[in-house]
Amino acid sequence: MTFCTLDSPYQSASWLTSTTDDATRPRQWMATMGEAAKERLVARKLGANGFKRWRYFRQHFSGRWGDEGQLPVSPRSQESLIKALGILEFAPGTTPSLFLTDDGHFELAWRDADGGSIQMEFGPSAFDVFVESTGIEESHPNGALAEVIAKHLSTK
Amino acid sequence: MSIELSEDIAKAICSDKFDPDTGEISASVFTGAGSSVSRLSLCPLEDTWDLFRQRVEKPPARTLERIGVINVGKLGETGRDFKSNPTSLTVEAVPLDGYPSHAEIPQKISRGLANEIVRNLDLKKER
Repeated sequence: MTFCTLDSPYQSASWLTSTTDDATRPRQWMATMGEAAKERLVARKLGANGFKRWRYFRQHFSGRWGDEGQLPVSPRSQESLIKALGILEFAPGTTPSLFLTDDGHFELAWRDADGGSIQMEFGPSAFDVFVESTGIEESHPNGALAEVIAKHLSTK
Repeated sequence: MSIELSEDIAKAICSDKFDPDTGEISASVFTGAGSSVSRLSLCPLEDTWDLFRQRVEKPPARTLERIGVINVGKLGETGRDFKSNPTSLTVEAVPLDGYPSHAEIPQKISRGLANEIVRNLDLKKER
């Protein structure tokens, strides 16, 4: 696979088992967190596969791509993804998948305990949430991330 | 021109929308309006691999991972049966230069409906 050619995408296995709880840190810290802290967060929350795909998208999709001039990775989408990962707590054994939409938005998808699909797409100013088990398909401003995650995804 | 219900269509599923480790496919392969597909009646599956490689692959960034096949009648049924928002889905022939089998699904497809369509795809992996 293309993204397997990256140079050691997850160099520190300890990132995946860190007990640091970023969600408990002040929100201001999230806004100013450095690149290394973001990488640790992505690796810990998404695991090796998700971290590898995050790096793959950042490395290869920073300009127009695809057959229809799809948009590059949106920095604001990435910030929204990082913020969500600081809040989301995945159930043990969950393996989230990371995608990139044609609009350059990161998209996160995972399964609940019953196999139902949960999806979030992070736009520059708003995000979409889809929960198959409850039929929820909504769009919210990014400022409501914490509230919506607490309301719809706290036990997923 | 709407194509017949008996036809099968093919959708390219590339590395940006397919996670090989989990097998998950992003709903965004179908969300929105004007989703591009290819008609297998004009370009058989074995040739569609080459067609999609030429048109949608941009190595090393984007690679073709799977081709999703669905019957046009089944696509329409999936739209009609979508409980939260029944949607009339058609496939319109939109031939392009060098790509006569190109077609589009003109209707706007919600994420929930896109998930249903993805679930009904017959996924092909190149041998």
